[in-house]
Amino acid sequence: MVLFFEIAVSNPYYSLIGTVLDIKHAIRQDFGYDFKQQRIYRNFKELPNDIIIENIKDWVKGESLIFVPHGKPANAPSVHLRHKLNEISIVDVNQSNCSNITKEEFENFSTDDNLVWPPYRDWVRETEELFEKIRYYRKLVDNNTATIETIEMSHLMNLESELKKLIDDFEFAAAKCVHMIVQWRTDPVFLDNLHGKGGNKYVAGGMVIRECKNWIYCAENVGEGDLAYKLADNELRAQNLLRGLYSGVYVPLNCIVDYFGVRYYAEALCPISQKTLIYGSNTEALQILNDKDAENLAFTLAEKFNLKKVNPLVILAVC
Amino acid sequence: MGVAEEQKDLMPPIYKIEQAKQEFLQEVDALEKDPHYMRVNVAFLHDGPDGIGRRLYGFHVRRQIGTFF
Repeated sequence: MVLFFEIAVSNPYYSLIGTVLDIKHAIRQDFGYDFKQQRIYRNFKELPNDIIIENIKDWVKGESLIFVPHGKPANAPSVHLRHKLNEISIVDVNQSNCSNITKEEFENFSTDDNLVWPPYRDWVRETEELFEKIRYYRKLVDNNTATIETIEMSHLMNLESELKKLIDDFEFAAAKCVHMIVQWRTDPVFLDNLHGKGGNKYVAGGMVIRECKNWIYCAENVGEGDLAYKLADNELRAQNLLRGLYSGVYVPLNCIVDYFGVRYYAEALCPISQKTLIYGSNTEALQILNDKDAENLAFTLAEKFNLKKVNPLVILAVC
Repeated sequence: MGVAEEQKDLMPPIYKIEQAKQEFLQEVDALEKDPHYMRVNVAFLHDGPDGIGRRLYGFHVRRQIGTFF
């Protein structure tokens, strides 16, 4: 140990093991990019060479750094030996913590004493199917100046009661999942920035449950308490406002569960991955994606909610 | 001899590349199990000679273990 300490003092490289420079060295060796060409980012900031990766603030095991090269590799090797890794996708984890029982069995069987995970349900699809029908009948009802006796009105009422039942089921399953997570002390799943960045996330019953703590917004950890709870409330309200308004806009069901003073934000799982984004940025604005249809939709929504159209670059510059 | 043929001559035989890939994979597996190393995932954003679009690679860096006295 004494010998190692002597080496550490005499050689600065040994005292700074596991730094960004080590990564850059490996990239240069494997991909041929010079040190000057390499830029490595995290949370809107370029990382300096001498920073120890384990000591980075809020560093989570499994997290990805972002590498942006400056130009083509100076000494590109003819063969790349390093193999690509598969990025985490919601489709890979959506069946986690689900039981094989039917939803009726779950409702009848489930009590506080019976710790059974809810069965898997595709909440987003079920919600959207109902909203599609509701939008259709609502149009008919609006056009015909319908009274309570018309068949369209009757269908609409049935569909809305089905929707109410679905939302109740979701809330019941979410509360049950939170109870189970706390009772079983389930390990959180690492989903990177899918379904929001930061905080512990759990997947159960076809939903993702986020503890309202340590959420990261604009590269800042909001910690625990009022601010985190308000952010969760805002998420809830914004999504409730948007849900079911437009055909093709799928908004997952969500709710907040207050479990003995600790809040959890539950959201239905969406089949997303790091590569499915088409509008905005999931790389701290290093790469901004802009799909024409998505942009038009964003402008439609902006008009609906009386929001000002702003160039995304301006917003990201503020962040 | 054309340029393409010259390049072909410079390339190592396929079986050697496969062998090198296998050896590299074994090396990475060993590092994965080694507690003195940790994997850091790095996402490559721009298109490059190694592929198009976002690619993720795992690099192993030595970590600081133990206490200095």
